[in-house]
Amino acid sequence: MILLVLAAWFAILGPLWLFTSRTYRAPLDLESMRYYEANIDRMVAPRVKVYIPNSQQFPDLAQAVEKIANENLARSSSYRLEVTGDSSQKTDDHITMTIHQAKEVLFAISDTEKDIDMTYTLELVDLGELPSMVSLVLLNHVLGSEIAFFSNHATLAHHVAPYSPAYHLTFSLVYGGGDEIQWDIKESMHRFGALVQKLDDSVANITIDSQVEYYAELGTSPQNNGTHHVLDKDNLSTLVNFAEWSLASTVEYQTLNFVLYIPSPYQSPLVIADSSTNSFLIPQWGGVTIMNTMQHHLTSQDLDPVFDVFASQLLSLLGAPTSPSSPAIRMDMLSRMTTLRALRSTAASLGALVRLYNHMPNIAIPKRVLKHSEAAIEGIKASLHALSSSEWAKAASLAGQAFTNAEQAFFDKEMVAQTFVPSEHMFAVYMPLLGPIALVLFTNFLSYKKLRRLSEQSKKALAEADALAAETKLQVQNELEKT
Amino acid sequence: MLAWLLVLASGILASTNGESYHEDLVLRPLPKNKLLSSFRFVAEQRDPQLASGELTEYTTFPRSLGQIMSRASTHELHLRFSQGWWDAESWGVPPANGTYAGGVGVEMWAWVAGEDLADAQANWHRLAHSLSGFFCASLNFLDQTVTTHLESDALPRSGDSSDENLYLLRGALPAEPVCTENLTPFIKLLPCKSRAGIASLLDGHQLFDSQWQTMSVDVDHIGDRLRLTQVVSNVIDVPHMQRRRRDPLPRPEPYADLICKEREWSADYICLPDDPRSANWVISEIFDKELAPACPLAGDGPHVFVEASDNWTVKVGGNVTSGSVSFSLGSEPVDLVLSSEDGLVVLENKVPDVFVDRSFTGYGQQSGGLRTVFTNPHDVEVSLVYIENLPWYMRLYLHTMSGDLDIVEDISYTSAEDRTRPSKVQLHIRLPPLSQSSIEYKFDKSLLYIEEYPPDANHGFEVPPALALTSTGYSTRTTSLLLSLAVPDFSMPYNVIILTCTTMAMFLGSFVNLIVKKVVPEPLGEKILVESSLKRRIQAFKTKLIGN
Repeated sequence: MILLVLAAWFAILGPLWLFTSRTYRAPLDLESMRYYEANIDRMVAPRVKVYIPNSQQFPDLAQAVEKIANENLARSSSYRLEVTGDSSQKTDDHITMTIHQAKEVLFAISDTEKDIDMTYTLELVDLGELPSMVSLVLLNHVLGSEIAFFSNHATLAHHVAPYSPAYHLTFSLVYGGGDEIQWDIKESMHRFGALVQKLDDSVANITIDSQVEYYAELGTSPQNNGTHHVLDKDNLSTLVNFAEWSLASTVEYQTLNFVLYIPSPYQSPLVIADSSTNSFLIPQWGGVTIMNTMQHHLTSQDLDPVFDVFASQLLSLLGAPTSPSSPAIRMDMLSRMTTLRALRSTAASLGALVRLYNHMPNIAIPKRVLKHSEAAIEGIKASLHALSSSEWAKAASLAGQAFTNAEQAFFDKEMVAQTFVPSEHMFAVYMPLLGPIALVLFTNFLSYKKLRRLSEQSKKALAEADALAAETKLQVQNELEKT
Repeated sequence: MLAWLLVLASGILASTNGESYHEDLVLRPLPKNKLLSSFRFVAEQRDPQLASGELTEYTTFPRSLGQIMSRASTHELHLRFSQGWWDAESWGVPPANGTYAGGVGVEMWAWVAGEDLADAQANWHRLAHSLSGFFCASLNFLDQTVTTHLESDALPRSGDSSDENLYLLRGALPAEPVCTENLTPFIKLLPCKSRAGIASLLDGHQLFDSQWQTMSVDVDHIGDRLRLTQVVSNVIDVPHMQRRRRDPLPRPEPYADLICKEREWSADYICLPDDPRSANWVISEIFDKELAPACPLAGDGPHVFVEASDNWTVKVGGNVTSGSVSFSLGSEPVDLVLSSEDGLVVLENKVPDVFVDRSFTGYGQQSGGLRTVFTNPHDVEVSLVYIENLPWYMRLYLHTMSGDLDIVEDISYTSAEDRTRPSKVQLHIRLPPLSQSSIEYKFDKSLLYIEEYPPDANHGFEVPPALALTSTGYSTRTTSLLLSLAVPDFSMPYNVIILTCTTMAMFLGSFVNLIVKKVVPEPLGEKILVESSLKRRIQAFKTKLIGN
């Protein structure tokens, strides 16, 4: 009976309580999010196109190279080569490999185009090793650093800036003195612009601004050795005066800073010990170049060497490979590596969202998160498709969109604002309800037990009394009979 | 302030090629030993957003501010940080006809681009948030509920107002304390920081220990040029400053130095320290620093203007002159001494075009009224625009508007919406010569949700200052008001929880009792009663103890 009543209570109050204390949790596609996190490395399968012109001497060379190269690659990654010998299929995307006979086996990579010249010897042909030699050159010497990154053998250097779908570049002319100084940055930009254009097309969106800072004191004091003011390694970490110089940026995406520091006449010439370019890189933040000049108008001739240094600093901050020498091949490699980084961090964000979802059952998951996570998954799919059809720029931009969506899903305002409610707080709120109820139930339970005990006792007593009465009755009857 | 106009003209001439920057300082003794100092910094360059190519090139205009504005599609920005009260009756017109003076707290208005009002408001929100971080101020509280949308030409604007996609939004936070942390980013915007030029005198300790101070940042467009005007003005009580320098501890004046007068409102004599008559004001004593060498970017023009009557002697380095003087800063630091036999005699102040006073009427926590008094001290007619933003929890009733309504020519009114937008009253007023008129309206005070009250709810709610602009270009603001609303018992939610829970527990208790209770025959009941009686229990306990 009691249990029945309690069950009735719970049947009424339970759903009411659940209904009033429920938080909205959008039905996320946890399964595929988890799947992408676990398998993204295996799924990124770019097809790199190589063109080896067919010749009468080696009609099957292209197919043989493709077979050997892909057998090698299959051991560690999903990275594949697509080698063709048909000149009608050749496009601008192809790496062109031409082979000649010579006395030695050599190869040369073009400094401008995606061309490789290779020579072979007759012995190599006799041994039947030509295809494997060609694939060795391609895999180890041309695309080596990229393949290592794809097959998880290599990580990027720690100075590489975190992945972002867009980068903002700030060029600051920082002057130690106060007299007016000008730089023809617009003219210098023309030279830098080609690189920026390429990055913008195939890696990430780039925005640029510049500024001039006066009265900028160094954050450190260089040593004066009589002729020079020398900065050694320990000085460099505190050289940029973050508190005083206006370097802070308010753009949402990653900012890379490039500082051209011109010391005041009192600190000139200022040199960095053991640096030929008088420059250094600040990991994940930007680059600094020191220029000693008394000029107050820096022309583009003065600035060109500085901007060459900035260009190489920019590439190394973006994680571009240092070899091969061909910038066109390197740019494609950078594009693919950036896409992989984007996809890896997108998948990691989605995986983190799944864990957050599972670990915090009382956190609200708004509909927006569902929308963004779905868009992220779609973006990953589209980017993977673009990679397998060798559209590097499209793959990079789709991966960037997927990354943005995944970040927005994970860092949703409502989810971040939802602070964790400790269980003691919840207990404090429910205490006034649970306390009295528990007390009532407990005391009633006690009195119920007592009642049970007493009633059993009294039953026994009654039974005894009855027995006694019956006995007495019997005795009385017996005695009555006797008499 | 004529000096400023001159400099402005020369600045425009100098700026035909590339960028320009100039700065100037006006020092002006005010009645009763007060000193008005007004710093102005104007930086100009070609608008980098207009240039072709992907590079946005900032030179004299600070990149940090330019980036914030372009991200928020803001065309023109005006920001004011002020504290204290400008005593217009004795000090006259604030510098630059009040253009750069703000009301108490923080005030911001901007022409923001957007496809529609909602888009513009999203940009305004972004702007407020970025500036909040930049100036270390709570500007992020300038949300929809305190921001009003005004007609695009309601406030004076230097640029052309033909662009249709620009929305003028304005908001104020009267409770915001203005302090050193706002000054540091302000100085960082200057090309020479505080290393050179007049900005070397800017120091938080001195600036914020004043009767009135205001700091303004204005960004506007002149043709294809972008201009940043930064102004810091303050009124210093000089004897107080000198006393603090002599002895940092505030000590009472010796009795002999007090002057006792019979006051009209009191039968007793009241003794107060007298205003010193002879003045010897050394700038390095008042500002803690000498004037540093000129900022090399700031051009040649005179950098410092002293506006004083002929009884004042001005000593700059070795030169001694009397009356108003202007000079340029050189390559050496200089000190400036203002002295006078009779420091209480100063240049006559210009009487403002209009005095506006606003106050609350009524009592209680249910309703109240706002009464604004307009005074025209001149013998010419004055026409002005009076703009007032009232928070949504003041439910304004426009039909209760009473008083001298014949001065009101036009009314533009937007009613408040609860928790969405404040109400806006914009009055076009024509004041007859030498007259005083008042306008009054009533409002109800609404109740807020419990989480909408600030931590110190009993302090009251600040109502932003109202703005008055005359047709002659003079602008003034009323003081902010403190509105006290009915404050609930903040422990109420917990009380409600406890009460509800107790009721529920009571129901449950009687319910359980009903179930557990059992009907027993009378002898048994009596037996139980006897057994469970206290006497019996004690007996049982005793038996147990003694073992009998």
